[in-house]
Amino acid sequence: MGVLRILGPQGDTTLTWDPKAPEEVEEVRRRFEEIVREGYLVFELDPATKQAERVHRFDPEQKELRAIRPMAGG
Amino acid sequence: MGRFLGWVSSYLRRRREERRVQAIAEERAEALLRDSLSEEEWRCWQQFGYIEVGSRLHPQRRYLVAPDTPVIVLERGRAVGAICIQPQERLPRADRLLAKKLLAEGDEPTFLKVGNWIPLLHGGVSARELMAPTRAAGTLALIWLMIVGSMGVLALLQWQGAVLVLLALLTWGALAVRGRAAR
Repeated sequence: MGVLRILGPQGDTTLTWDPKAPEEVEEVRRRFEEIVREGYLVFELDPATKQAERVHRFDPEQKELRAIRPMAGG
Repeated sequence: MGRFLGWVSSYLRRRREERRVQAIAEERAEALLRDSLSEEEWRCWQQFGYIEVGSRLHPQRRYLVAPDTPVIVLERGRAVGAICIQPQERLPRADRLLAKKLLAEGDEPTFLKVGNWIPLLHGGVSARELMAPTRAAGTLALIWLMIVGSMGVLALLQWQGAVLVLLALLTWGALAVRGRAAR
C-alpha cells in the first residue's frame, strides 16, 4: 500500500492506493498531477530512514509521499 | 443589551469551535510528524524542540529546523547564519516543522533559493537588522502583557503576567546592551 499525505491548514488529507488496483492507482495519479499543477511540492520518504527526496512523477510503487505548498522567504 | 449578549455568545461559540478544529488539526499534524521522522529525529524533536538535517550539497553543513524560528545553519558545528523560510498558508505547528524539514532535506537548492539568508552577528553584520525586529517584538509583547494584566480577566494571570513582564524587560535590556556592544 502507498500513501500520499497532503498538508493543509486543517491537518493533512490522506490518499492511499494498492499498486495492484489500477483504479486506485489512476485516481491517485490524477490527484498527484493535479496538486503538482497547483504548485505543490511532493516528497518521497525512504520507509527505513525517513529521508525525503523530491519527486516530480507518481510511481505506484512509491510507499510514502508528502505534499506541501511552496514556501516563501520570511 | 439582549442583542449585544447574543452577539457575545455567538462570538464565544465560534471561537470555541475554531479552537476545537485547531486542536484536532494540531493532533493530526503531530501524528503525521511522528510518521514522517526517524526515531532519532523524533527523540530530538521531543527533547529539544528541533530536528537536525544534514546538507547534501555541503558535507560540513547541518540545518537545525524548528517550526517557528529561522533554520540555523551550522558549519563544522559552528553557527554561521540562519535561513528564514515559512509556509505560505497557515499550518499546524508540527506541519510547519515538517514542511521546512522536507524542503531542506528533499530539495535543498530550492530551500536555499527561496529562503532569506540572515548572517550572524559577526563578519559584516546585521546586529542592527537582527536587533530591530527583536526589540520591536519585545516592545509589542510588553504592551500586550500590560493590557492583559490591566484587564484583570483572570486573577491567576496577573501574577504570571507580572513575572512575564519582568522577564520581557530583562530580556529587552540584555538585548539592548548586547546590541550596543555588537555595533
